[in-house]
Amino acid sequence: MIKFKLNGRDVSVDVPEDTPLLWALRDELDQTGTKFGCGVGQCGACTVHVGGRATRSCITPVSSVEGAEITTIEGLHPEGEHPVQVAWRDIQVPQCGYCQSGQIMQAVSLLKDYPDPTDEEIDGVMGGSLCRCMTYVRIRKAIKKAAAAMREEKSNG
Amino acid sequence: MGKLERIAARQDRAAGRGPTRRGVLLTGLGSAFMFGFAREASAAQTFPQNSSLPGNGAFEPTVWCSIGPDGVVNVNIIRAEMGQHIGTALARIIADEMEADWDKVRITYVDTDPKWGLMVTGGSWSVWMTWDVFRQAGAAARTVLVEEGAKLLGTSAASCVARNGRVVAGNRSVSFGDIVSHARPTRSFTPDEMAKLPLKPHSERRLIGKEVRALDIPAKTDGTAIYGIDAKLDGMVYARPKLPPTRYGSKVVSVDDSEAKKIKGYLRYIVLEDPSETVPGWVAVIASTYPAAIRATDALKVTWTPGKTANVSEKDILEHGRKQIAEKTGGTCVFNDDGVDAAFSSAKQVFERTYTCASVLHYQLEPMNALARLQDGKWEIHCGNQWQSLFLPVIAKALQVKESDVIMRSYLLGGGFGRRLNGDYAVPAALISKALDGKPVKLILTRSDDMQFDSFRSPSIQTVRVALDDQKNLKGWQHHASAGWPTRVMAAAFMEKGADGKPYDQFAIAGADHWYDVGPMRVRALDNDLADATFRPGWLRSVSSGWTPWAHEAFLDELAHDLGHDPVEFRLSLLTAKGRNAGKAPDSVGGATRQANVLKRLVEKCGYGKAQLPPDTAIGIATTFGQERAMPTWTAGAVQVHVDRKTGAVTCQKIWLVLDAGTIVDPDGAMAQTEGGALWGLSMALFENTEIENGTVRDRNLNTYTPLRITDIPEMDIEFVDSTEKPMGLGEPGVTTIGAAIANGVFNAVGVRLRHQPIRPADVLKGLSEKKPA
Amino acid sequence: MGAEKKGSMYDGAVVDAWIAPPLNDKNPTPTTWTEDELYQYLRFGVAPLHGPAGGPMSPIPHRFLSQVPDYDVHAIAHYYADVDHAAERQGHDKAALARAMEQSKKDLIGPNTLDPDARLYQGACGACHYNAAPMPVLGRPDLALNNALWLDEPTNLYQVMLHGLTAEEGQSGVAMPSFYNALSDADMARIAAYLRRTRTTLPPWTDLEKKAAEIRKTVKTLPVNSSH
Repeated sequence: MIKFKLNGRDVSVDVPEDTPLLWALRDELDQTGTKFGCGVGQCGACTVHVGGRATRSCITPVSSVEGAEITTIEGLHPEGEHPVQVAWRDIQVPQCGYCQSGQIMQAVSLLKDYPDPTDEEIDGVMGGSLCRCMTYVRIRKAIKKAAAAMREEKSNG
Repeated sequence: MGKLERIAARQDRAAGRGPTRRGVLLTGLGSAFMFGFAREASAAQTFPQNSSLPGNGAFEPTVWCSIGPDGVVNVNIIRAEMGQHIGTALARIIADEMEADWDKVRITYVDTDPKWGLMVTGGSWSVWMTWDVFRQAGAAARTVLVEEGAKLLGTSAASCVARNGRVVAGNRSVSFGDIVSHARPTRSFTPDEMAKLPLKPHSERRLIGKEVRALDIPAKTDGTAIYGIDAKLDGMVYARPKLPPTRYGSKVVSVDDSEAKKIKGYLRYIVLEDPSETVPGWVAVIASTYPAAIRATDALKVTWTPGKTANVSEKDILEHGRKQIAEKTGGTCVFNDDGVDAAFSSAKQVFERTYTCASVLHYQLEPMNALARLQDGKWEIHCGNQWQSLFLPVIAKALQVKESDVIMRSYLLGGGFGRRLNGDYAVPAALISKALDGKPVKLILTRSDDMQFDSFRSPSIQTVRVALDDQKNLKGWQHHASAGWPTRVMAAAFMEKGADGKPYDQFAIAGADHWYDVGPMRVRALDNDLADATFRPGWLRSVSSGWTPWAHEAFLDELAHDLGHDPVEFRLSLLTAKGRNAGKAPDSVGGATRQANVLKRLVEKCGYGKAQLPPDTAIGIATTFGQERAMPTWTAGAVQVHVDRKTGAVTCQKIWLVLDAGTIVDPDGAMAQTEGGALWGLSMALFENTEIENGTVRDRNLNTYTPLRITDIPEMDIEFVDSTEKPMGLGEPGVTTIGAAIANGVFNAVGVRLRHQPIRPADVLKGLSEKKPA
Repeated sequence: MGAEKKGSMYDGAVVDAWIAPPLNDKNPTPTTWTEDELYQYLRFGVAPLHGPAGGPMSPIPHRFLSQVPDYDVHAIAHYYADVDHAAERQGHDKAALARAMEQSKKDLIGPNTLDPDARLYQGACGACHYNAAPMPVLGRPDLALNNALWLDEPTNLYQVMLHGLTAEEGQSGVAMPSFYNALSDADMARIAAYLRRTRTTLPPWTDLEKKAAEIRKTVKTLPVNSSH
């Protein structure tokens, strides 16, 4: 049994140690918002947070997150109202939507590191997240909008 | 209630959230681990998610929509949702005509049923195909609601109007819901009756063309959207295919699973016997988890005798095409005008160029997958698919059952781009389930599997030539194109007939049948049979219109420069809108005049020929009619490129597009589709391609396949022409001009003409060095 | 720690198919192992300007020194800062850091149609290892500053690519994936060559693909059962 915290709750899974975190999340824990894309850590569709940092779950062995805190798209905000999610809807970013859980998780982590990101910083961090519908123009716009909203929230809070 | 659900409920209460959306769902689930969302694998997909549908007593004037006693309007969508927000756009059409309250509109992506007619999503056809029938269906609903509402209001239908979900007579009104619950209308309409109903004029439209939030988007931001790969059924096992060395003709000689047996979770392998011949030589590996299936498939040893194409290369296919073009006979002529041979035999000069495009993979982000089972005597196939009407019969044939015994359940598509028009991935899932006595089995291709047998865009070779008289006037035109023919391979019955009565793949030549006035034309489509034999050619976003303009739009630039004309003025002089280029109602009213208009507007916008640009930087132009002559979306595109003379790197700095697609139903959706299309065009021109090596594609994942990423996007300026004409398509036109515009831009920047796509730095450097005086 | 010939003590050695880098002033990283960097590394398993402790080094902070009181860890850090002459060397750190921050973003900003190796790095590594001036973010180990690129051999770079880091290793609570199935020997060699030529000022490594295969052989159990 491998134990960790998923979206704030203790969970345990009975799978081989080398099982990718992605499949443990999707098939054992029914969190299917995290997607299988390239399977080699190069498209970002499977991005979740491990200890608050964006991590490619398709190539992360579940045993390596024993005891860690995992957040998936389902746990980012209880009502789906994280400022990044709100911005994503306002700008109408998703097309097919398949990469967007990963994009959102990566963007949230970007804004932790760079709360007021420049275009270069967005490039640097989001360059690993592939969107085949090519929603990139809107991803960039939504990140800036979310950043502004989060700064606003912070200064008001 | 399981422990975790109790904790969740407690947390929700503690946070003052009460029984939240999530909380409600949590309480419905039994297992301790199942604290996610309910996965109703059998349910059709409805948006907005978790909203109510018209319940008992709903009024269903046509199969396309129903209105509940609570006023909720459901619209049935038979098209696949793959990012175009098509349900939203189509529901706007019906709701506008019906005068529905948009807040009460729901959309349901339905499962297959013969009552829907042709289920296909591609070719940018959805709005264009649905426009008439949905307006009529909306009018039918409105007609009945007004009639019944008038009775309830004690007045005549003539003195009532429908507005925003109510029937109004003066200062009195009654809601659609109340009409349905009190009057219980049952009238339904035949297609003939529907066609006769009066439709609202353009000036009365209240939803079409107005900004709207796509109904499917919220679910795509919180993990609740369900794609084919997310389907889950009790007792399900997992499968991965072990793919043969060639797409066709490989035969299994022996299978050794001694190493696979060491993998925990491995169950068995199955050598697929496929009466439909969709997946010849495939072996499936079954396991209790997907990771076990991945590893056991790697461990399984299969020996095949490969098919005949095991050594075929990209170059072989292009050379074969070159020979086909060189031969005067063969292929099918789409246009073969009188006088074309005479024009060339009497020409003073023939100007000729040849262009090639490399293979391009779909790389839709959700790898191919399907879940199949036998349930209550019917075979259920759960997957995202773009052409159910084509593949349901193939699945039935594979299973050797009646078509009525197969149902395809609809899911969101994690990318289509034409890949899921080919439903080949559903066949092995069905065959495996059959071998397991109908047990549910989910087949997932890993990315490398997915790429190995992608139904990719064929490499192509095209030769364009014109006959010039001694005054350098155009006297005739020929365009010959050779590529694999997806429609012959997968849907031969859908092929069109050419000028010579022979069938041809319109999706392997469309775009070459352009609207320029260039004298008698011969446009000849050649089926590259070596391509067809080697791989399964596919439809890829904008099909041939993604690559035919690469030839004729670059060719026109070359010709203009050669003749000493400005390329834009030259094009405008050919867009005369005469003869067959005059256009006709309802789809191409105005003809080439509208293409000239978008080109002129584009030139104004981008400053072509006027802007002062830095060295080695220039604007290139191209224009098309979108993806199909029969439903033209008039398109003009410009790009600003910079060429680095030292490295040969080409950078696209800005894209401008002007499109006339008739009425724009969903403006933001139209913009999103065009942005995506343009960037696909850019990606194929500069960033991504593959080549066939030893009978299959060279690239198997992102380590070598390098599509455009966020760092690579240029500035974009996209404009739609205001129009009240019938709406055309927008999924594909954005792609069509970009490649040729880049090639033309590179020529304008550094004088190097590139005729192979993608444009590679080495080719630019070679061109630059050849230009230098010796 | 490894062979300790007189006079070459702290020069570094090979341990369990990893290179234990020199602890003295022969340590090649661009910025100095200062007392504070050493303290962060030994106490928390990650030094902001040098990266996390991986492989055989990981248990040192997390298993052994975690039992040791803080002042002792400070004392050890102080001692090794002395050994590597940190005080005399750290004058160069500011310039080195600035250069590293410039290198860190190379090819990750703006379009790149030229270098396929850069695109591989962008897809596989960039999202986690990109940094912007003035300082690397803790949790974004900057490769331009990391030991692994500045050693004579790519051994440690390959080891960490193949194994990744568990949440217990390196920086606590965060994990690095295992690229064992995700990158072929050729892919690993491309990334190694690319990083060496763009993130260091040192001569290229040689025989990279062969060495990748050799290090792969030292991995005894498959770290992750992923696809490819």
